Amino acid sequence: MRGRVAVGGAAGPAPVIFTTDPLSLWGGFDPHSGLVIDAHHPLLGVSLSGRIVVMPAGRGSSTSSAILLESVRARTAPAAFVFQRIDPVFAIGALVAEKLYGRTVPMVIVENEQDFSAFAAAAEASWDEGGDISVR
Amino acid sequence: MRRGEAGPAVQFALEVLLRMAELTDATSFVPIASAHVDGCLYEGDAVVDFVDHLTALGAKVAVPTTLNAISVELSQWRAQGVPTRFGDQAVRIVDGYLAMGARPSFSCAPYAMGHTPAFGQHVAWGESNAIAYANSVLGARTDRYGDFLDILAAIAGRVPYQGLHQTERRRGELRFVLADDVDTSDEALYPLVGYAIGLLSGGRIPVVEGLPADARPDDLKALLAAAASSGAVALAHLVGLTPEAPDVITACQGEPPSSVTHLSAARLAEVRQALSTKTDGQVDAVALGSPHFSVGEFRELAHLVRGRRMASQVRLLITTSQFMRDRAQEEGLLDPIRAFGGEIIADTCVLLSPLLPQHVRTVMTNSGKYAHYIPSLLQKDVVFGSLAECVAAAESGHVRGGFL
Repeated sequence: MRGRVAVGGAAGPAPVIFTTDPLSLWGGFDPHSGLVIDAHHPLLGVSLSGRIVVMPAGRGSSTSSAILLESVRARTAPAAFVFQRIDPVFAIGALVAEKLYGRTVPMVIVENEQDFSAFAAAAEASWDEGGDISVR
Repeated sequence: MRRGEAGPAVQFALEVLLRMAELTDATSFVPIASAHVDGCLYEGDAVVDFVDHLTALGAKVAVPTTLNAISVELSQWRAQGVPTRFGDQAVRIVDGYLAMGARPSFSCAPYAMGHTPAFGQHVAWGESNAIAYANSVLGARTDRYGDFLDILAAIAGRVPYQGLHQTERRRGELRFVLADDVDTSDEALYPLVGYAIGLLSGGRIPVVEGLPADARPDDLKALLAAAASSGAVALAHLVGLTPEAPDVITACQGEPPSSVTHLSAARLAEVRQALSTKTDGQVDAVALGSPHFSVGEFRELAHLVRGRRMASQVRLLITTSQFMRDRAQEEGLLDPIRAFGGEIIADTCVLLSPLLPQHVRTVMTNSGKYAHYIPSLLQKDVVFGSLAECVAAAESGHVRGGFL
């Protein structure tokens, strides 16, 4: 499967967390524990640290970028994100992380519905710099 | 310009903006008339690192720039029991932005303080409710800018020409029709409709029909803030109320919407339930003012509480800007609210600043945004209700499931 590498380069292999419910990082993710804290979200209590988080898009607060940067600083960030549509709020957090800390959270875009859905059953995923994705 | 003739801060900003342009397939930049910066919150030391980095580069804003609500009330935080390190870091971020030339507006409702871009003007605004209000109600054009991109756009004075800056990307896509059985005189209507469309929009642009023609700016503010909390709504067309939506066809730019959803009384009742984590029992605090309370809202509250006295164990916090608190003071609206027992907090809000003590377990609010975020960010129970219901709960110290 191919995707468009939006931020960073290669990612994984890392365990996959798949959700069809977009998550706001502000009010949704604790950058100090790495856990989902959104009381309305099905992943409540799940750790995203070191995982490849797969969701259609971002949601809610424009402070999600600051939370993502904080998690990079605290080394609790997800390993990478897979989106169907690029979320500019998440992207700016990852770009600033690259500039400030020299490390980031790679983001790849998989628009195709069927390809995207393939992540639902995946245990692990990775991709190279060209966006060649493998899921297992 | 990219080679640094304009200084290292502009170069830094342009490098990041160019990456954002690539990501969003923008092929040009557009100058902006103003910026509203949400990145001034102390969400952790990474934000301090970012501001210190810009300060070291000698950054200055190139356009009029307002600051969002911040993480402390500047003149009061020590007395409010805010931990010293939290307060110091929060103030350091604010001082950094002020030194760059940003204005000390400290509000998530800059649009209520005269910072109102003209129809069609390009701006770079952060903060989800401010973005939705600027696009929808003012007809200004801003994309959904995350923290950091807002100040970088202010420094560079331009943004990639993409997203909601482009006319064709502002087309209404999902049509929502308020059903006949909905009680449009219920003041909680607006946050409920907003929350519902946010849940169902998934990042696409909603068009809402059937809202009362006499909806006030504060009603639209409540609707949009809720929609931007439950969804990624950065623009909603409210037919007959917002400037790009004189009718459905215009809002959809002549194309058919991809879906039609009827918002029935039953559906809004479900949303109302989803916004409360409990409906019975003791209420320890009432929080009003997300987005920041306006003079109109102070008037309404002052009218409701006159001659009443709230229960002594309850806290009533009303969050607003210094600007709006001064206007309300001039009108004599704060005395009856303080006599009732209310505390007026400026610059910040209960989501950003540790204002609610540990023993407060249940908070009541009329704000869809507060109701959405309080359980997650503050780990407290929340009860959603109208302003009148909030006042009644503050007076009695409890809620009964009956009115919900």
